[in-house]
Amino acid sequence: MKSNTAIELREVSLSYPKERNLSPSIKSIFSLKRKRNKHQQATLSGLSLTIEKGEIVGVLGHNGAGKSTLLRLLSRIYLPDKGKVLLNGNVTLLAALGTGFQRDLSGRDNILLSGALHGIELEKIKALIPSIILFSGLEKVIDKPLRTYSSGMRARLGFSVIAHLDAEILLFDEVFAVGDSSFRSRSKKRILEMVEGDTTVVIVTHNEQLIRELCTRVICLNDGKLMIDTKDTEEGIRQYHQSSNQKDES
Amino acid sequence: MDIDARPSFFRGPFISFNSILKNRSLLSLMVRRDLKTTYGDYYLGYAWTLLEPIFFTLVFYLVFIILRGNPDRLLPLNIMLGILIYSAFSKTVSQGSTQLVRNSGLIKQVFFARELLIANVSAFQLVRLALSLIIVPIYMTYMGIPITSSILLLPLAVVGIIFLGHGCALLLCVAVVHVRDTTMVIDISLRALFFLSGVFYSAAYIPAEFLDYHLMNPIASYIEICRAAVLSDLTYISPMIVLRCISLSVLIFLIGSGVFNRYQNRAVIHL
Repeated sequence: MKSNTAIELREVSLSYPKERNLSPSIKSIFSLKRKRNKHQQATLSGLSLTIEKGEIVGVLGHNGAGKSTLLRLLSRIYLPDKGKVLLNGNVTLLAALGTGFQRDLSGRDNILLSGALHGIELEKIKALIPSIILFSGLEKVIDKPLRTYSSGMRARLGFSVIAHLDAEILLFDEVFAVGDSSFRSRSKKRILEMVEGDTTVVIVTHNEQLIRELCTRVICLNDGKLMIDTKDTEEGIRQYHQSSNQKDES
Repeated sequence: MDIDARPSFFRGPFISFNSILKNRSLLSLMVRRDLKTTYGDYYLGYAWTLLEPIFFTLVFYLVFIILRGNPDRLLPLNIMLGILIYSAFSKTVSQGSTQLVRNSGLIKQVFFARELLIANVSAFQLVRLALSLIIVPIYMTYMGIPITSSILLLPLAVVGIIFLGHGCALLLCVAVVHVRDTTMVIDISLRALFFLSGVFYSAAYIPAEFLDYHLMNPIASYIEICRAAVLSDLTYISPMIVLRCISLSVLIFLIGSGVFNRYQNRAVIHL
């Protein structure tokens, strides 16, 4: 892996069970491997991709194309069935706001817990708490239980925690547009600050405007395969629409 | 950074140990969270860990000593010890083995050492059991039972039973993800073990020819070790039995962490 490469995927394949959230039948457990493969469906197949340090990559694709699975592979939540995922730097996945939040704990305790779950050292989170509280604008209620917060307040607190994460590779999975207009503009500003410099960013979103504003490269997945990969974001979005129309017609 | 999707079975214990050591501050936060959410909202708070065994001891005293006229005045203490030890084991196994399924949302949102979820349950049960056992010296003083050096066996048995439960939870966790019926099997097995582990009867009530078989059950042995520690009565407990229990706990932990670390990465896909 080259030193200026942040992410490298080599012929990565991953399959899901077809019937998710269902226990397999006893028969399928004891069946031969050949038969078991019938219960699997490929989500990513033979995907190879290299992302350089500092690139901001927008990922487009239909529902079920494998976008979120790609992010989970990059964040090590899933490991590939075949191939290799090589990462050069610490990774943070921002897939949901308020990860690990507990409704009976205070906002302050939840900052500690969520920060620790995201891999921040305890001392560092403690030092960041005043800044996180200030950013969230929840100073008056921070010591009250989370169950007393509105959903908007919870999302603001969740975003404030992730906005203070320090990662070399940031993965966003549709976690934008939180709170009122004032908080949204602060969030956007903070995201722009986070993606500045050497940080490598991969964004999964259906918000094409966001891709136009932020991204330096666009990739498009279709049935777990890489269909489009271009540094011309406008051209990437156009090709994506074209392939979507062709798919709809067929 | 290259991660092994299916680490060798023998590397499992080292992976578990390193993960817990590396993430001990997160584990401590998780345990404190559970203590706060379990007892924080009650007026009597942590006092409930003591009130529960006191209440049960009073009930046993009423049923066995007053109503049934049993002359054994230590029976309520014996039963209380049995219940505390068994319920700590039972909750460690039943809650620990379902941790991956119950935390599937969290697991899919952020990468962290998943053995922490099971370690969290075990550590919480250890703290809860330790707090509940504060009643023991109070009860011993009330009953005039002398505290001798054999009391040192009590913390050993407490850690041993939780370690045994932790190993069982690790061993069963992945199976619960693949076959949800496993939770029913665990539930039924734990209920059966409750009656087979001498919770309501001590080794003194077991016929001599079955005593060895009874003590082969590590849970029954741990309960007997606790009773022996409190009553300074080592009639049924030998160093060999203590050693056998601890060895079995360690062995089950080694197997459990080997299985867990080898198969958990693939199991996450099924959540």
